[in-house]
Amino acid sequence: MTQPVLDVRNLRKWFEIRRGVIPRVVGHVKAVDDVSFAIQPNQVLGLAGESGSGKTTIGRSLLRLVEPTAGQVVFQGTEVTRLDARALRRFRRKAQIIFQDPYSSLDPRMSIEEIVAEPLRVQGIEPDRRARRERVAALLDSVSLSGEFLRRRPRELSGGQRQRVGIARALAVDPELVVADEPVASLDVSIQAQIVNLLQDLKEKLGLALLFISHDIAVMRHVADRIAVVYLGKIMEIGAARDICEAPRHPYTEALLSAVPNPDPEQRRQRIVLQGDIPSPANPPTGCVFRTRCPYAIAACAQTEPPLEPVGAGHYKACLRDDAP
Amino acid sequence: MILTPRRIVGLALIALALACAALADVIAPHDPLRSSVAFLSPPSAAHALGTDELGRDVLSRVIHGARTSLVIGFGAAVVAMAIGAPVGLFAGYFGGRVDVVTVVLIDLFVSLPGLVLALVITVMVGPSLQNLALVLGFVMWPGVARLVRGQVLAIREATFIEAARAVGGTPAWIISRHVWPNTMRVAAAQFAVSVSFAIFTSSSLSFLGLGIPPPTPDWGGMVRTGYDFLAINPLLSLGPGAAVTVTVLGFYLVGSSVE
Amino acid sequence: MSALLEVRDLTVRFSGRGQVVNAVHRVSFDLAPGETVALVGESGCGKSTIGLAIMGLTGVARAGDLTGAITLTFKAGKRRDLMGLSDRAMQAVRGNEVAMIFQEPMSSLNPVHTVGWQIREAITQHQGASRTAADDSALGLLKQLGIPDAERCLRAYPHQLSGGMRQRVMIAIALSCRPSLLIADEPTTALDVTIQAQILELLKRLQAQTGMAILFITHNFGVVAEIAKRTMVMYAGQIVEAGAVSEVFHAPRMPYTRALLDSLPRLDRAAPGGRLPAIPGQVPSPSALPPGCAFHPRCRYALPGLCDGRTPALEMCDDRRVVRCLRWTEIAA
Repeated sequence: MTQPVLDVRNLRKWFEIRRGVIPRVVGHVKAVDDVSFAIQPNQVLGLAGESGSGKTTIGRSLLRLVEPTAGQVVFQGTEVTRLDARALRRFRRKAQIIFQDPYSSLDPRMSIEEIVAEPLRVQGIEPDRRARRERVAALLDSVSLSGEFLRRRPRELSGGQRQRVGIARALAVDPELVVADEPVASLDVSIQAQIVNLLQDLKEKLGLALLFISHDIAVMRHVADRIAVVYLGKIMEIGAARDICEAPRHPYTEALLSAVPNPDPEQRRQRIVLQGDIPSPANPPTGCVFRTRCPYAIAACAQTEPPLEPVGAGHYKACLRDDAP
Repeated sequence: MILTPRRIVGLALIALALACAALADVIAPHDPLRSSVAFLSPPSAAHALGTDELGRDVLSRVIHGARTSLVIGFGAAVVAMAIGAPVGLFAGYFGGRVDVVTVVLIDLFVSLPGLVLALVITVMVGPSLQNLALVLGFVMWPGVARLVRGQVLAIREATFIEAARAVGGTPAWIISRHVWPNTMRVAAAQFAVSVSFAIFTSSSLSFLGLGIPPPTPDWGGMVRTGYDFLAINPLLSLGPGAAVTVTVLGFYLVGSSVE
Repeated sequence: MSALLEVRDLTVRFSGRGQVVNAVHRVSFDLAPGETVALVGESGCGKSTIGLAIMGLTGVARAGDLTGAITLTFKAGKRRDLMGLSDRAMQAVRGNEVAMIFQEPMSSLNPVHTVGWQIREAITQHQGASRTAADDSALGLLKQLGIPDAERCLRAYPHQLSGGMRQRVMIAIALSCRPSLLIADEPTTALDVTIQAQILELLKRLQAQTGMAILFITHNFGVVAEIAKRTMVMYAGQIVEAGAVSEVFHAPRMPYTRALLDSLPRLDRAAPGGRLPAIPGQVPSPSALPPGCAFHPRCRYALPGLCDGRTPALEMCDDRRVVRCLRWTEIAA
């Protein structure tokens, strides 16, 4: 068994809630609460969830853009949470992020060349200006942007083009792990497929490990090897993409899949419509966090928090009941 | 920079003031310091605005006065920017205790009327070209810091800042490459407004007797002395007064027209 | 039975900075009473503008910028062209005859008034009911919408409610005067997928109860299949295909529709590793449309000499089915 590129154990991120004239901590927003998973080399792990699930915070915590409250993040054998500033900088060379919003993730005052060159400059790669420019041009070429984009500014580009620039920037330092945070959510439908294809091509060509964060399970099914379903900061189910999508073993996964509108008018199926709203992560339900909306909830669900248990090869679920769904 | 009518007018007025300051020796019809027997004479062909109580040509003094005012104006604005911008950047970006202290300081200064503060300090240190620029700069820096800090707070949340952190950028790198360039525009606008405030306030200080000592032509001081002779030749005050107005307006129009 | 809404040659132009942009170009369609029609397309295709035009909310400056006819059959029976109505007359139409809900409920709800106040305001404005009667109606409405603890919801402010709840409130306000047509402009786009399912279910139920027609504007083909019987696909300000959802989705005639449907990642199809057939290029800016067919630079069936010169018209290809493509007969296979 090869060593995983990323091994996350018991990750927690709790945000403090302060109230009062002299601010005191009155509670916590448990954005990420005891999350564990691993990503193998050249594998895509999808993190699926809705708002309040904590999936974005997980992505940020891995890279220490947000400091984890507790837990371990082991990247290629090194514990990331305890790196000092220098070592953290070196780590950043190996683990990068693609942001959701292509409009605000590029500095409007910089040219495309400067934006893509920045990681190279910060990391001290290619100090020679001319070599650097060539490298930037090659990077842009790898995302299908021609050399004429070097001089342009972000405002002259379309959403899809900006996202490509974001991808080029993430790949500039030759990372081994890329966190893609909802990379296609802000794009037009006809552009989404282009970017998804691009990500897959790059992943294959460069041997990347990818953490693909999205609320769109259909995209995830297409891209990911394994999927982890997250709800209110906890993993509900994790397994091979096909298992999760075709034979879900957790009520939330089942409901999530059922809620995805299917562009096939003939395939009308019995839809599970969950009642109620997603609870606030500042005040999660006791026991199983999903119980307030779960159609299979029983009394025990309010008392015990279900641990992740295996239900198949590499397939785990966090549910007290064995017969749901 | 798109040239709106507002900006064009402002730039023209600034150009006029700068021309007077730079080319005073060339365009002024007379020596501003040369007194003559023909004191308090009315406007004539030789003296477009008349002469003052020491027989000196008012127009020439107004033109030369531009030099003094602009030196003080720019000097004060530079001082304000040199202190205020770094403080605003630092406090805005790092937050925490430094920010709390800065905000308290800013609020303190901003709540006091600038003129009064400048007055008090000038009385203590004595008026001179240098002192005036320094004092006014000192009075203005919290306003600059407040503006810069506000802008930094907004930019700090932008995703491209997070992106810069994600590639390993140090705070110094991020501030110099991302935060400051996106703040510069606002800071530049504030610079122009600071110049206008400084000229106006220094003229006010001169009017109150705390300006550059004579015989250097100084608009505020000229307004003051002309005040005694309003009945004889109002242009002794109106001339320099108009010069202050026009110059201050020019800088203000340009500064306030930046969104 | 005559149509509830008849739109003929609707054209909306926006002018600014010396440029004139055709947001909507000669769009015509009918809406029958009680029918749900989906207007689907990507950003900038003009679908939202059509909704705003029907409500008289486009805000176009010059008279020539909004042309065409929008004939509505009022509840009382009379038929009027909404374009010819004064603003005052339109105020009586909005909410009463035609209501609209938007994507961002937070910006459509007034943050300084309680939910109850806002529903009541809508009712009293149009029906002149007394305050108690309006309060009762509001409560009844929220209950009908399946909002738990409706009394507390009435007393709440918009920011205290979740996104799904705010959307329900907006629906409640929209339906408070029983309009015969509801225009829903991307109402579920900003919502989580499980909440979206709730709202869609709700709209279907309400439609069955009230018999109102729905013009559902969206970019999501899945949602179209869930909620609509008929659909109109838009591209660059024009309708490029229209017909029954089952037919359009199974046998799309317009290359754009077909390519778009093919490029969608599906839960029920294709294993990972394969490539999604993507549409090359990007959506043209309305101020720089290509000559001839607006889609031709991205179309794999485009014939040089034909598609880049002639602008295709909307042709009837079946019963109640139209397509805008010069080559649709050849591609049909």
